[in-house]
Amino acid sequence: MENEASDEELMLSYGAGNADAFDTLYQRHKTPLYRFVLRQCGQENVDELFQDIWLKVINARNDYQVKAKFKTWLYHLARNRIIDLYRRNNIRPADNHEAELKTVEDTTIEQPEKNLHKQNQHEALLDAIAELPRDQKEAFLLREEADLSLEQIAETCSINFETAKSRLRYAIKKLRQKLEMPDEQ
Amino acid sequence: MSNDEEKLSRLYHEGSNEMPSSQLDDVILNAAREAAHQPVADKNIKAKSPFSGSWPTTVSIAAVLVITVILIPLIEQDTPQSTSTESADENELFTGEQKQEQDSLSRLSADTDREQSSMKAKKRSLMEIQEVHSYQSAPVTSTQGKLAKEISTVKTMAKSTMPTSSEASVSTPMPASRSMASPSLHFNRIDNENEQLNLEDNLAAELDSSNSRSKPLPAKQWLEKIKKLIAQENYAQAKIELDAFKRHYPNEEIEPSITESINSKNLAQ
Repeated sequence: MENEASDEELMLSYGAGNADAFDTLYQRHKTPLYRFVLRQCGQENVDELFQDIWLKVINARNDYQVKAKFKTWLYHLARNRIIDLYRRNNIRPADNHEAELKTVEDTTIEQPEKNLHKQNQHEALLDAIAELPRDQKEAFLLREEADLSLEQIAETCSINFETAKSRLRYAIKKLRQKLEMPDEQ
Repeated sequence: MSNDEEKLSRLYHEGSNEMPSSQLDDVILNAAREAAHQPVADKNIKAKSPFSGSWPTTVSIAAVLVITVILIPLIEQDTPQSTSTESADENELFTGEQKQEQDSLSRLSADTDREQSSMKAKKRSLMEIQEVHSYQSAPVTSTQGKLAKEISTVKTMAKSTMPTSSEASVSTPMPASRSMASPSLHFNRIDNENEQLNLEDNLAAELDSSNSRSKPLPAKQWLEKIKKLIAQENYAQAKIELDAFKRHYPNEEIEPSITESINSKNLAQ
């Protein structure tokens, strides 16, 4: 039954004292959320941030109200926690912070030409994602990991629809260029 | 979504196998279970409204409110009355002696005021008479005689009361109307008596001077007038006229019968 319940119902059930509801909720969202944090903050910080985000969810169980999608609320919490980390490390939103956070090891300093020669295109894509500006990376990861629509991305990031659309379009364009994919036009 | 976007998405998800560790999962899930088993504290425990209890509580609160609303205006209305009764009680605390003193003082002040007012009225009337005489060039007239008579009576009354008033300064005062008419006049204060005497002397002197300023009668006619006054038994006026005659005609001889009759009568008075 709990597997069929919506995220919001599970959260309300957990707030009423049902621990199993939280288990179901956690199993649904743990992997995409973990990757979302990992891609932005690196392996060094991911566990700490991931745990902090879920503890915030646990602590908010009594005050939770269904005003928006649970997923949107969850990633908004995650985003705020990541921004706190950026501020602590004095990283600006437009910076390519991968070098500072050293999340992707030596591949971050490799040139795009070398990526093309990698056998695993996935790694090349991850390298390209790591080189994206933070806002564009965030929009891409929200789309791919959290499966959020443009409206939901805008709501999560507290920006308007056009800005979200623009960020996502630029991110895809840059990734395509780095992977040497030809333009559709 | 275009083909390139689908390709990117597929490529991204194909190789992504990162997951939180089982230890991290256990930490988070244990924390969630512990939190869920804790008593739900905060949300459901709220301060109870006084109206959330049973109906007797609600009714009693409403009754208290209504009674308070009704009584407060009544208490506020009674407040000024209670202060007046308090002041009355305070007045009762005065001793009997204080009351007597207050009464005697009020009586004295009332009598003094009455005397002063009567004296002022007397003075005013005398001044008016004097003014009338000052415009008349004729010698002593009937009104002048009345004025002189009044002055003489006042003088004699004041002189006769001088020793008694000095003996008892707190003697029982008489009403103003009686005190002016009765020869046994008693004044309450020596100051008033002195003032009265001074006033009368001044008035007599002014009257004499006004008489002297007017053209005097010839000596024989004046003496005849004095004799007439004696014949009419108006000795006071006769004495005044005689004194004035002496001032105007110091060398003129006066019949001894005139002086003897006037002196004998004045002594008798």
